[in-house]
Amino acid sequence: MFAEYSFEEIKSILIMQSFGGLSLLCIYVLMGLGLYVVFGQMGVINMAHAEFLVIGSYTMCLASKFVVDHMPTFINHYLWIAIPLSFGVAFLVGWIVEWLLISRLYKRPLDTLLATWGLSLIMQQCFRTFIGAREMSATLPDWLMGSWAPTDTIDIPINGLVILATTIILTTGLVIFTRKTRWGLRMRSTSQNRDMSQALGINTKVTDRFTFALACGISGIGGAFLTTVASTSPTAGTAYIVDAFLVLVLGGLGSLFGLVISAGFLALLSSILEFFMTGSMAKVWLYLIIFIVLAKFTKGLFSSKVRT
Amino acid sequence: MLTISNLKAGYGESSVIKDLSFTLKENEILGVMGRNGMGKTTLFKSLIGLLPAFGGEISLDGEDITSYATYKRVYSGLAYVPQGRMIFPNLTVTENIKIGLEKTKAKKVPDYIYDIFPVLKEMGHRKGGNLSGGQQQQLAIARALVTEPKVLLLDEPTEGIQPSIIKEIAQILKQIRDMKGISILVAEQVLSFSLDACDRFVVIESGDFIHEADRADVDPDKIKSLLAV
Repeated sequence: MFAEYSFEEIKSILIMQSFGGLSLLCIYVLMGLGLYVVFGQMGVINMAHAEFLVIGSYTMCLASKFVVDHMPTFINHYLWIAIPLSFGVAFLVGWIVEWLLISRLYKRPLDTLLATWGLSLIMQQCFRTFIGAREMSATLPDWLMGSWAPTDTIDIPINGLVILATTIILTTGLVIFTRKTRWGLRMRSTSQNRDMSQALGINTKVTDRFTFALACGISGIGGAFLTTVASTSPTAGTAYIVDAFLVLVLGGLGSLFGLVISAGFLALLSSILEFFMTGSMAKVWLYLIIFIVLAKFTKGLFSSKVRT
Repeated sequence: MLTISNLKAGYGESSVIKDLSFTLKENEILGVMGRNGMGKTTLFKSLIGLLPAFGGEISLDGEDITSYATYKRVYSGLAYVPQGRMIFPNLTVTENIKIGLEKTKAKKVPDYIYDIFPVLKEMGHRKGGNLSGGQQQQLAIARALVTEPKVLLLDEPTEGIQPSIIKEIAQILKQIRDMKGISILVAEQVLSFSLDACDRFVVIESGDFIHEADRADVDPDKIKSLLAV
């Protein structure tokens, strides 16, 4: 497999594929962050989580279309409004979904699985009906295109660097939010014991709604950044949902640190394997490696160990 | 202070508490004694609102709280220490206490908590799930106390606790009552603890009180016989 490459070439390939995998890592982390909140903290398996990613993507695409059509001079700056807007739209839809559907299913996990799967199909059909079945792309600002070349053989895409910076900021922000604010404490206590949280004065209904909506909003941001590396379509999110769940389980439920490490591990491994073999074979090898790791660490790599 | 009139509660269609009425007086520690399965925990869960009342009325300082959600009852002045303590295992000791500050919105744990439970200050950064049973019980009481309640509900605080600590918990309850001027309703099976801590005793059987005695005229042998299986 490596015979036809020199050592220098292999080194450059590894570095560039690693940076290629960096964008994937960030999408995994952004999607995994939402799942970390909704599955790791609330115990809800949201099969429609990928569709919130798509909501973020479409918001970004429609915002770019609006800017191109009506405010072309604003094209280099619209990203800073489109990204919070993607968060806001996904957050709002998440709030409504929790209120109408999820809140009625908290003690019925299997029903939640089925209901959210149904919801994902409904949302996909809504995207087809109201936006269109064809793939859609956002017009990106010039400064986001191109690459940075630290050496003659290495090219690092700028959009990858921007996604990386955003992911670091968001992950750090989420850590600070959950660990240092009263809302974060409410979220963590409610996820661990809803009854006891109520018995200490926490309105768990509002906390659950906020937590779910926050997870959807974070996924929306992931979707907005997805448009900088790929086009979007009604089913675009389904390509990432299985891998995002794997990232979460491999890292250990409830461990943000584990989530980031396992996202990095999966994204880099996937990116490097896909360079040397077909995409299908790369997936086979990837899942085999995950299977072996989970057989050894059944609760994930970084699960917490305390007396309950 | 806390008045319960004709309370009925249970699980699904099964009624456990049947037409129960009693009053918890101001500054009183009332012990609810009873064997397993007699309705102590059901009574406490229905008082805090974790189980809906089928009928009757719960009023606190004249305010009817029967239809209130659990968190609203906390705002009205009830605090709850459940059986098994239900510490948040993945939160630190300080975070566990801070959850109780939801009602007062205070940012800092009040100093008197660490005066009563100095061990909680030493172990502030340790995860709640890593404390011993006795330490977890102190944490559960501290967490309820910071809600600044009028009435503290304790469900079997001695369960799984070593005898030397049980005596300490009885003293702590009296100290809290005197310091904060609150009333305490405590469910128990350990007679020695109740005799140490309580001003009045009731014995519950099949969801109804079958015996009541003040501290002055309590007959420990009579209660012991009622608690015997």
